[in-house]
Amino acid sequence: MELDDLKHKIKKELEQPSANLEKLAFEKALHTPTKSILGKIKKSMILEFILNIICIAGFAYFAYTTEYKGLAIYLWTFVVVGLVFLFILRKLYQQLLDVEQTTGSILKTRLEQLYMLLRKFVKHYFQITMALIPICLIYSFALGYYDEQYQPSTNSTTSNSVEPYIVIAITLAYITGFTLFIYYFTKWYLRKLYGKHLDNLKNLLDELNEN
Amino acid sequence: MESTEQQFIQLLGEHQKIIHKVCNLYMHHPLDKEDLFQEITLQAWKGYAQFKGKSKFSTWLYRVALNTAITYFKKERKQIQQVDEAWAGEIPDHGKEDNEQFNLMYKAIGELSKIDKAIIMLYLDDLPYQEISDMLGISPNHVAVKMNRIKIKLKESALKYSSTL
Repeated sequence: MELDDLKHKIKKELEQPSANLEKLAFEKALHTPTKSILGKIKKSMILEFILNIICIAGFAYFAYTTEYKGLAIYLWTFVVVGLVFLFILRKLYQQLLDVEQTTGSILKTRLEQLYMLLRKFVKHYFQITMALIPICLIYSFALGYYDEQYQPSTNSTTSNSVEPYIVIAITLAYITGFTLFIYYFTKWYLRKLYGKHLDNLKNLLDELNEN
Repeated sequence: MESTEQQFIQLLGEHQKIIHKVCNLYMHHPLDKEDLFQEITLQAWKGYAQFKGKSKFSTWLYRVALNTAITYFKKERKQIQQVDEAWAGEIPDHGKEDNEQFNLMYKAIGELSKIDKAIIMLYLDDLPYQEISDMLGISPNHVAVKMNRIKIKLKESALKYSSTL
């Protein structure tokens, strides 16, 4: 039996609305939340946006009011990084809105747009997280070390009892461990959230281009 | 705004067969069909402002529906598990021998890849290869090659199923 022999029958069968779809109104469907990958990224971006603004405001407030110079520099640095991230988020969000409106574009174009957008979002998210590591660790250690006000007064006892090379070794081990943890954790987290979608989009594009 | 929404809903109503076709082709569980139906309607509404009437509304809706269904990855694992039972279970009784052939072919179509399903759907609607290629973004020759492969695949799958009966 060939496909063409059953063409008409199959077409008719596919056109039949399933029982639950018959009573489903278009009006209702227009006002339901989206479950698409774009919707997922959009939600994630809005959440990042809000959290980022809260963090920037909080850090700026504490940086302005603190009497510790080192801590103030540290917090202002976070404010600057936060503002850069906000700018990147805003740009990505605009791109997302543009892609969202082209739902009726050519399939290949649509798949390419979605793939590029998702990859860009994952890449920027990863880069920003990685950029925070040196700020969190090395920068804070350096500022704490050089800012006399920032050091606790009881430090003299500790520094006398512990050899400097041990302190350096522990610090380096801590930095390495923390960096590796954040690196692999972020990779795993992004892979869990968006990895499957990226793989699926890539496979679809490969299949479409396959000769 | 209100009138635009009403106009849009009216257009959707007139072309709702397209949405039903895509939902039936890509989803097997009734709840998944419902989800996809809502998603296609929503995506069409979001993109409606960009629809300038350069192409027919039906062509544009085909694109939206296929783009949405193909990039809709939700509950995929659950779906694969349900393919056999749901596709076999939903097919109505058409006759006897004739129905058997139909069931086999219908089941074989259900197992095609997402891209192949899109091509099959447009082919079933008698769209010329040029138009299918315009929708998918590949050349008409490429569509023809893929269509031949799909036909062979379907024939083989149908034969495989008939031998297991």
